[in-house]
Amino acid sequence: MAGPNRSDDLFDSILMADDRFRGEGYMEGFEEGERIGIIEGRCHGAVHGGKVASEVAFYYGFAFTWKCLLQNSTDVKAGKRLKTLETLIGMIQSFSHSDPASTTLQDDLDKVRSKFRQVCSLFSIPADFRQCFEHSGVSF
Amino acid sequence: MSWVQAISSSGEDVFDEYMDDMQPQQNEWRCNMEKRVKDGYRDGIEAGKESALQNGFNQGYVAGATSMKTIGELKGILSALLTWCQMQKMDSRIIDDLKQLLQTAADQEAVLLERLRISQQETNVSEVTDDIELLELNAVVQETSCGGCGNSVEDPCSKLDNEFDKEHRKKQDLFSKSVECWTFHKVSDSENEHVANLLIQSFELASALNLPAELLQHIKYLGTIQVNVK
Repeated sequence: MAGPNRSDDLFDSILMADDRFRGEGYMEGFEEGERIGIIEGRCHGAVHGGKVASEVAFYYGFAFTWKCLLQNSTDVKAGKRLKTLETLIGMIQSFSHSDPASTTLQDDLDKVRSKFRQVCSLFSIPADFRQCFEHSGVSF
Repeated sequence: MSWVQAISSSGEDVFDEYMDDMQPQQNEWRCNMEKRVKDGYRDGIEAGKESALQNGFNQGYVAGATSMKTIGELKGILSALLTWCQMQKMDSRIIDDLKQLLQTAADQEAVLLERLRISQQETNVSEVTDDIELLELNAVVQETSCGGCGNSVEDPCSKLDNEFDKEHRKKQDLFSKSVECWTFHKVSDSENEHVANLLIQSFELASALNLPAELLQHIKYLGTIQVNVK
């Protein structure tokens, strides 16, 4: 049965060589791909993280400033406004930027955005002003 | 190919009749195997990229978030002050100053985002790409620094600002002469300095408006973090 065996070996060699060469290329490609992936990922991540952090920090700065301005106000509306601002500040303080893969990140961001919208309407922020900072990178 | 040689020297009759055809077959074999290597390489690149993308994204995300927080917060503070002043029907000069500051902060935010896009590729992109992107950044920086000095005439920080602009121009000249890696760090320093200057201007303005101490304290605190970034 030497014939069929040899023929098996031959095919094995051919098939294995096929796999071996493919595998060598794959390993080399994988390393290069990892390098590219890290760079591309970092680049996208940095821009995305920067945008989200800047947006959320914008809401924080806005809410914190208004809280300071209203603290000693005797206006009848001040109480409700302060309460909403404090809720928004609390939401932002528990907002984490350390895990972009978190499943709740988008939900949390949406909640912060909608709370900020509520603050805007409570303060009767004029529409043209909102346009002003929406143009500068804050999106709803 | 070693195994082809091994088979051809094994002396089996069955291969003898193909001996004349061995050369083209070897070429074909080599060609096929090179194709296999290339196929493997292509698949490997895809798989490697996919496996590393998320990790890279996470690293970049945290770095990006850290560096953009202050400018975002400053924009929020200035926007709140602007709405407050508008509601209080304050002097239009104060409102104009606030608008100008807010616009400069928004421009600066765009510059910082652009810098983030570039700095993450810093060590790996080809020189040609470096060149193009630096030129683009240069254009953005130029625009912003022009916007920044527009309101500095009656500002207490005007002297500082002018010096800063002079320094900035020097660095821009440097850019056009050199695209070496270390110029990125010069950009980084001057950008942080620019944000720190914006914070000083905002602090001066907020002090002039007699705003609550807690708020002034907070702006000062943001300034300290910004200086420490340097």
